[in-house]
Amino acid sequence: MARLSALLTIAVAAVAISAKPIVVRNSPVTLPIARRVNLTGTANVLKADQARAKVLKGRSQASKKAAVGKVFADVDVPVTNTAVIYTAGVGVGTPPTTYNLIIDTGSSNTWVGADSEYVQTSSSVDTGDEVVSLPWQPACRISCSVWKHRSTLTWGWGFRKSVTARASSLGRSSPIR
Amino acid sequence: MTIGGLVIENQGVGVAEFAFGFGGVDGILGIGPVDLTEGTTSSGGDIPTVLDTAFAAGSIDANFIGVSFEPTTQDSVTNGELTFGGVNESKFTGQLAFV
Repeated sequence: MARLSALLTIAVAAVAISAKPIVVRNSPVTLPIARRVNLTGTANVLKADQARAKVLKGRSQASKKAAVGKVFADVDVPVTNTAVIYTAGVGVGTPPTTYNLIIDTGSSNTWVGADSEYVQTSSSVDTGDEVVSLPWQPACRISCSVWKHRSTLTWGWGFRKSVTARASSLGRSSPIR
Repeated sequence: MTIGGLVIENQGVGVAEFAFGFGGVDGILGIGPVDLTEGTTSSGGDIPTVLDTAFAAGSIDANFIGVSFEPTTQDSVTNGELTFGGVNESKFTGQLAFV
């Protein structure tokens, strides 16, 4: 498993290195994206999908029970939905720091700093703007990310028992050249 | 910000103070519609997406993005492609359908 993780890291790094920071005026601009399988806690994609289906089915049944006046039963099946994600190396700042970001058509805010720490550079300007909320995007598209806004600065991730919504938060938004 | 060969200046980027469930990745490149950014920051209004900013600067000819990805049996493979400001005609056959 550790060996596999190392391979994945190398694969993603290769993408980052191949990205040449030059100005291109000839539109369109293409960017290779890496497909990455996240095996955390789940043996394979099939099992991950089966677990997810079980949760969805359970939710459906729980809703039916609730509809007829019985106590709502939350289904508590630990799953990690992010079995397949697509990532790309994106450079931020001057000189650029490359971050591996999930490509997400289901959200529109771009942000960094989750895994490797954000590196402030000379071209970074703090807008003083706080991120106050992120929209809930139930549609699972490329990255299968599901953003659930629970309260200010908090949101859940994926299908991780979203009722309990693991808290996460975003900090400041900065325009970066 | 540099994305592939594309340089985008003055792009608003959120910086996480902490995050959960993002093992091995650093964040999100949000390429959805700009409407989803409305009210997400304390100043209110929209935050232009990377695509909006690139288009406004004239770096790409159209404010849309092409996405191609394909199934694979391998654990990790770079077989997808984003096309900023256009579509890669070699990635499909026939006519593009608009719905």
